[in-house]
Amino acid sequence: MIPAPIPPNEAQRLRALRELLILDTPPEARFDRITDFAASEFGVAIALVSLVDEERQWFKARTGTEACDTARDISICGHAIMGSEVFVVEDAARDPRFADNPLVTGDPFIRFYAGAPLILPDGMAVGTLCVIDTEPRIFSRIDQAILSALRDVAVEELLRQARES
Amino acid sequence: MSQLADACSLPDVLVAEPDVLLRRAVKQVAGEIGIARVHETPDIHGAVREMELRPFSALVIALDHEGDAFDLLTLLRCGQYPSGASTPAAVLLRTGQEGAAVRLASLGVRETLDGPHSVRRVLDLIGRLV
Repeated sequence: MIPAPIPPNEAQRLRALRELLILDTPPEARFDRITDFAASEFGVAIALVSLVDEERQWFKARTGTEACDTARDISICGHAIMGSEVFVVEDAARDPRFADNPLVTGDPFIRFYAGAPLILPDGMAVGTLCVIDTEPRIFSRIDQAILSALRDVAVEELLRQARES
Repeated sequence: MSQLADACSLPDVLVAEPDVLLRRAVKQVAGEIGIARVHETPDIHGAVREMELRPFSALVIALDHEGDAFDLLTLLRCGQYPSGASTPAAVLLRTGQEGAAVRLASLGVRETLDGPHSVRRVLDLIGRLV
């Protein structure tokens, strides 16, 4: 397993995340509907609005799981925030980066992952909108475009929520 | 310059749909993959305003308020809008609205799509209309 890397701008990234004033806040319908929609759109078991904090990834919205957070070093979202494009793992069990990851070998038995980084206007990637399934699958260019469009709505809601806080 | 030219060559499609996630994603992805330039509005009233302003190559409207939608389609078929009476139209139905299909067919609606509606299905629908 390759632990989730730490981006070079980690200090600024964490500051931007904290300034959203969203960590550990209660669930909100405006985020829940995004994960519900994504799970339905792609027919996947799990969809998350995941925020990658210093030691954990915390889920502002979750569909298909009761987990509220996981350790950052085993998070696939931690890998996804290293780039700006949709991060796709078609079969985690066959990917050397994740094959022995406890989230793959154990509950929730992730095989497929696609995460669109939540990137703020200042360029900081604070988390992902991701979809997860227990079967491997192909994620087409159009699928990635759809997930990116939903991610853009999620970013707008993060910024709106921060203004309202 | 070529990107602007490409965008200008796309057909203009009006999507009237209350679900903002569906509407926004359809608009964004349709433009990205180059099938249409989508103009979006949440309801029939917005659709009427848009249709009075400019012609569209196709319409996709949600049947949330049946009377308003039927009125819009009737006026369209009477040539009351810049789009022209024969503009292709499709309707997004909700659960329980399947009985409207016959009347919609009489108003020249080319396709109806039963819910739940996914971005992919609406994009495919737009592709067939244009």
